[in-house]
Amino acid sequence: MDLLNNLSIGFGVALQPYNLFVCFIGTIIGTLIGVLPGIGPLATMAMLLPITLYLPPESALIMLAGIYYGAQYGGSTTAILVNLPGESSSAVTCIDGYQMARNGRAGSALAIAALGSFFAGTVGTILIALFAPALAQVGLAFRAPDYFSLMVLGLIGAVVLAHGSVVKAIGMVFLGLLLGIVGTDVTSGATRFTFGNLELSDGIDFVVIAVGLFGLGEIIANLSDRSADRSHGVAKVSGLWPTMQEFKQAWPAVLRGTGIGAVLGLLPGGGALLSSFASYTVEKKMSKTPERFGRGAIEGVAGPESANNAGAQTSFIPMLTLGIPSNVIMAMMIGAMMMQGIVPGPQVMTERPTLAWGMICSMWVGNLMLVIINLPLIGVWIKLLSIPYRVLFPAIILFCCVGVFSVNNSTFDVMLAGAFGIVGYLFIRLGCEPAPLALGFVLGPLMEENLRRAMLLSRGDPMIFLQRPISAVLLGVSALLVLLMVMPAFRSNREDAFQE
Amino acid sequence: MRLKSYRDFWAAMLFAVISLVFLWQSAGLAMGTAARMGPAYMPRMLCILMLIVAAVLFVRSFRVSDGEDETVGLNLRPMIIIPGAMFVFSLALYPLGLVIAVILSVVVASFSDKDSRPVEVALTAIFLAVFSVGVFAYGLGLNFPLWPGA
Repeated sequence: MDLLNNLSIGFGVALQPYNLFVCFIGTIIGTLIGVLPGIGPLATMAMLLPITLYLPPESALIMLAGIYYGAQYGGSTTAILVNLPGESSSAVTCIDGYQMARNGRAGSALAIAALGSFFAGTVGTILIALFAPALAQVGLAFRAPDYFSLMVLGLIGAVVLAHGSVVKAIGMVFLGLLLGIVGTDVTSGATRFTFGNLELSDGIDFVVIAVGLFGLGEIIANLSDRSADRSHGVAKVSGLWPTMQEFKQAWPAVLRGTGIGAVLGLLPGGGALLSSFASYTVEKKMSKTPERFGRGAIEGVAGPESANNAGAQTSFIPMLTLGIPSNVIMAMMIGAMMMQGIVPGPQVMTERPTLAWGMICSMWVGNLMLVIINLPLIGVWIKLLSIPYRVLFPAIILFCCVGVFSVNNSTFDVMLAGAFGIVGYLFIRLGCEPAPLALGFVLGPLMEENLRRAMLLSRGDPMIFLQRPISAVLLGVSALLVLLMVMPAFRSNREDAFQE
Repeated sequence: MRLKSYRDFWAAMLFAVISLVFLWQSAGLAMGTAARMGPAYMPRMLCILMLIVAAVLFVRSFRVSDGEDETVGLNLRPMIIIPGAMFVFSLALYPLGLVIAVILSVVVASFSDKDSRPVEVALTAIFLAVFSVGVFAYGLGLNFPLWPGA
């Protein structure tokens, strides 16, 4: 039985005492940083990524998975207790989570979020084990034009799902691609856009972009916006266990959320954010008492939290089978793999099964770790949240400095991250979402490479993208997405969805 | 003509300036042909696409209101001081070592907040310096010079 075989390889790796330990540490510090207001899972991972460089590849990715779970859970904690989402995907949790906290049900909101996530993660893991090997076979048939078209689809997906203006999101994608190209051109050896700076000849590091745009930009925005002062206080947590009635209300939402997330996570550009928004909308529409939503409905926490976890888990499938990150979190995972000297792609599944399956299973273990360890530690996280922001932010900035520095032992990188902080703040003020930029940044060099190869194959004839069936289908889907985007009906729907 | 969306207008300017700078920087690079793309091929295409995006935003900024506040409204104080703290950290690290770099950057960062209190800042700085040496330098074994000249 392939499925059991694969899972047993995976758990064999993930359950080794050392890897369990690493996962444990990752979950704890991930939560520690993720709980800090204004720091989302992405910034947390970027800051902590350098720590994992000192570990063997399997353990490094396992730790990163732990950090991701910890950070995401930390973000939900902040969302529920102080109504400050660290990142857009936990913005949905704020709506009903904070209201539950005000009704004195913070403990059960947190418990349901963790348990729902755990259930969704379990389903996601099984789905990957079932389908990933088959899809990896499809992945082996991919040639340069197909890869290029797939990346086009991914980027269009990111544009459709970005918050706010579509035109700006498209601009951000182009800018990301352009920044990704900075450095030495692999084919010709020419250095590009380094402004004569030697430190840039290896290109800009992903950590620099991520910390600058997502971490620092957010801190500057927080400090500028005094009206969003953290003075509304931390909600009290009394009793962690949901009542029987809450369980009854929550579990159908968890099931639906898991289903929605599992499907949407597969889409390029999909993953956590879209899943949680979609799930919230579905719960509200399905509910017999929609008026409770926004006033502390437990379904409004259970559904989205499960959905974003299922989405996060199944978005591993395109990454593992094709080596293409479908969202920014996966881009981070790929960044970590490349730093470890592993080239992502369909061959990882067959050549490094312990790595691929170990990572999949470790996502599940990280999730379990969260339920076992983090829930009892909730008191500690609350203490952390009651520290005033003016004391916290110098520490956050220091973590950013140290994190960026230790990737290449380069002080130049730290300054560059600082500069991207200014850019990130400008983007926030101008209503430009940074996520499409980050995805473009990772895909930039890959896209150029595959475009070049494809055009070389066809001797300069762009029709090759339509002649190859895989590529043609992918481009067809992309065209459909673009069409949907311009259609007025969908447009207003999309706006509604983000309004929620 | 009156601007209807300051955000769109300035976003257009930002995209336009960036793409022009990149176009200018790609001047010395070979374009190549579609079949054999040179190092300038893809970047120039991207710059042109970005200019189109900028043009669309520019036109739109006079036509469609985004329903947001009038101006973009940047708060310059944190915007300059926070990256400034990072600059100080990177400039101080090699000549002066981790301990002093941490203290300096925390002090600089504290100026970005009007409500910061000197005693609190001093305590935070000392705590973070001790913490960094203990956790980053010894605990994680990251390669930092600790003191001046080290």
